[in-house]
Amino acid sequence: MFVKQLIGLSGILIMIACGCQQSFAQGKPARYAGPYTLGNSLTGNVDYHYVLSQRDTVKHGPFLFNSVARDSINTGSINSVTLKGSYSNGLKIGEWVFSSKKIQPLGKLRERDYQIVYQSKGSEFVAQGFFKEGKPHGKWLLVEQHIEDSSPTDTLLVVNAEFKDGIMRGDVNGIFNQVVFSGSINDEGFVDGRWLFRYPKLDNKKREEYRFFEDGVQVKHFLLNGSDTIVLEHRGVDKVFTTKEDWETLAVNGRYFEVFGFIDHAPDQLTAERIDQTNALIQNVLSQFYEKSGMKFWSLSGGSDTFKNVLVRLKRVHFTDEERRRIGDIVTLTREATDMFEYFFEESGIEVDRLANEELMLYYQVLKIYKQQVDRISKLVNQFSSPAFEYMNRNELLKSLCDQLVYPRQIGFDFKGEHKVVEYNFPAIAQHSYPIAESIILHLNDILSDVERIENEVDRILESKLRQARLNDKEKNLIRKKDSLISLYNNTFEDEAFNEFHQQVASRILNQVSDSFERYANLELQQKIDTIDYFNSCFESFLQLYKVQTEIPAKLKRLDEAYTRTVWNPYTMTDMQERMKERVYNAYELNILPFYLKDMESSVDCDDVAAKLLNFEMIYRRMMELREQDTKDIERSLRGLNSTTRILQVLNINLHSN
Amino acid sequence: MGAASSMKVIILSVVLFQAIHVFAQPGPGNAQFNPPGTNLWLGTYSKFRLSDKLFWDAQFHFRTAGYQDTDFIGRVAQIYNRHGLSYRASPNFVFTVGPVLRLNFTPEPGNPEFKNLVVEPRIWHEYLFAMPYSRFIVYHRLRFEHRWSRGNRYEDDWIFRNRWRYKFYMAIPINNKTLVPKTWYFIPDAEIILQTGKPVGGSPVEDLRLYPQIGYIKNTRVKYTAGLMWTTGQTLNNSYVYTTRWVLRFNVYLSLDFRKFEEKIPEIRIFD
Repeated sequence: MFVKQLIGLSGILIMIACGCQQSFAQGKPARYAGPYTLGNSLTGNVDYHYVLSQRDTVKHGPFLFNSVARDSINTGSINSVTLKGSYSNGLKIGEWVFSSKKIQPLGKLRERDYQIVYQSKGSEFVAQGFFKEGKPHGKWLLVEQHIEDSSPTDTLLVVNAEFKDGIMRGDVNGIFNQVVFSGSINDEGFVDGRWLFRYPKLDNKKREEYRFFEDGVQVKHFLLNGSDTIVLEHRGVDKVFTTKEDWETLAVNGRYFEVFGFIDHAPDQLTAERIDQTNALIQNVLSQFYEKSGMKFWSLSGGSDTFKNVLVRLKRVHFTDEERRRIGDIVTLTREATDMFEYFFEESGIEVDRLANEELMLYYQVLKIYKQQVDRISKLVNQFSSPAFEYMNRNELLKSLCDQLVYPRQIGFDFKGEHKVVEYNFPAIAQHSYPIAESIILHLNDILSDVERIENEVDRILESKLRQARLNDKEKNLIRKKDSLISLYNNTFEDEAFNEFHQQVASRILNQVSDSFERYANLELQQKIDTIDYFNSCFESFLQLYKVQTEIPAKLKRLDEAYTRTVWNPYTMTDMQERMKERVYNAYELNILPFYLKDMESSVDCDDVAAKLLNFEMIYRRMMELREQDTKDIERSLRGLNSTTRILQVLNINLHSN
Repeated sequence: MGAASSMKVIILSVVLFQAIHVFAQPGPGNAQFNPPGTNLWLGTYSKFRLSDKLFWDAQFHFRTAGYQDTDFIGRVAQIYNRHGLSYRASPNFVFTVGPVLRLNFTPEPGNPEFKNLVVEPRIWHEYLFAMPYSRFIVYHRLRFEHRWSRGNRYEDDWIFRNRWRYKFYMAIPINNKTLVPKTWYFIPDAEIILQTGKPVGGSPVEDLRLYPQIGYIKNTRVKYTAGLMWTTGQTLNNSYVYTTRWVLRFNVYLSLDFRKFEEKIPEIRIFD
């Protein structure tokens, strides 16, 4: 509440000051000390001198602003901002200091000069430099340090730089997060010369990064890691500045570093992290002269120009429609290939069977190589959608990519404990007079063709393996059936169900079974795969035949009963059984059944056993149907008939025959 | 055979013996037996099944008799039609009722004193009991006839008599254990025919028939029997005068089913 009152009071005082402007119109210096809101957001107390000019308050003379506020988010933390310097006719001149403290009271009370104070910890940032007519000019210093127990401890940041007429130029050096750095900026504000970043030693090895610039163009970049030198080529980023080409001037910011981040960013993760750290350092160091935690602190009190960015140069090569089309084609082809690789590498059969099948193992290795190449292409081309690639020579990148698409002439792999070396004819990338992107498209098509061929071949192998596995199961089944048939028709177990009908065909069936099995056993593998179902079906039919034959006596009896009627004879007064539809039954009993059994006995083999099984069932069912029907006409037709064929016609029984 | 059945056979035998003994008593004087006649009876017996319980009984006899020097077939004696509706109350009991029309031909063909043909209508009803045993079947038949008859002489009057017939016969299979088709069987057969009525007077025993037969069951529909029957009985006018006959009999028995086709077919499950 008190703070609000102070804010209100400060507003009133400002208005009073404005109201009194007329009285100072002649530029008579005045001073204001009291509550003040800096930059519409930072409230505190100010003490400054000014003159009134055209009803405007023109700062003139010393200026001191101090703000102390509790952090609304982190309760207990105190943010303190101090801005101190001088104005001349509204423009910053001379030395200025911006200080920002973030302090956390530690709860340890201390008495000092009759004041009870808390000990604290936190950090302090100080930007100190000189202005000339509102422009930074002269030596500047940035310092940021940690505070522990109310005393500064380690230094996070120290930067020494020099400005001239608002432009940073000359040497820049300092330390940031223990990285000692030094570099220079030319008179036009472009990064220039050597920039060195010396990282703390690790394992007593020096770690340094060098970036060389010429007039804003990065021409060399390498790292020293002990005695190792890691040179970063940054292929695709043009390093020779000419005024004839379309070069663009950029601020040193994230977009600039992004250009360097895509290609050959770093050979390893550690180096990549270090480069990123350096990029961040450069951005931080150069920006913190005017901005801290999003606050452009020199702008808060006015009287100074916007700080000019430190500049770099990049060559810009615009995408053409044709180039975009080709890149689109490449992206499409790489996705297609990636899908094929996924299908291949996710196939569990391949994963398992390649360990047992050398051909599969070879194809596995081939596709691994293809995948690497396609991934390489994909990785590059998918990045082309980034705006950063406007600043890169894509053709050079693609050419470089093509140079990397090298295939071995031989593939080495371990198989069943042996190291195998197999020659493989990978497609060569054709670099003719085509645009390089076109070459890559053609090459991707070649890869897709070969991968498709391989996948077809693999499918064939897997199918064959699968069928082989199925064959094993089926063979077990076949053997089981064969053994069953031999036991059954030999009546090995003296089965009560074994009857004359079994006996009638036993030797023929046994011969058939053993012949068929022997015939199967002598087949080639593929023939076995092709015919196993036939033999299984045949043996199954024989087993069915046995079952049907087991049922024949019962069915004959059932037919006999069905065609037998019990009649009460009024003369003997007894029940007598009589044959119903005697001609029909006789035709069946004396003609059709013997015909069927004789046919069964004379020829039963794999090809016709199923049909003959059906025949018996057909006869049986037809006889049962006839029993229920009025068969006067049929019986009349049967009179005197002896021909089985004719009888079958009359009874409308169509036996399957082979 | 059960004890009760055996008792019945014994009682029947005693009755028959007594009857013959009584008949053999001379009336006014000693009993007199006429010389035996010879006859040939050719008969068809048909029972047509009309429903589960009802049968149509149709019998036909063509009878010849010895005449002059020709035994058995010397002249046509009678043509005999018997019809009736039989009701099968149970497998072992059937009763029948119906008419009979017998045609009696002249006993002396060519003699103008005789009418060549005289009809003899009857009403009859019979009660047939079967007693099946394991190896044979015993039958008891009670047949009652109410007959209107006259002689062939022109002057003969119509007379009405009642006939009371009891027949005992058996069917004893020979080549099978039961009476099934293709079975030969033997039929001991004895029948006593008594009569009552105003004209009967002292001649109640009209006929005693002893008729052993051989039968053959061809199938469920047809069977045959053949036998030589000896009969004797009191003449109507002279009770001490007995007639005797030797009758050769050949019969065909038909039993046909006139029911509809569906009713003949016993129900079974067609397919298992």
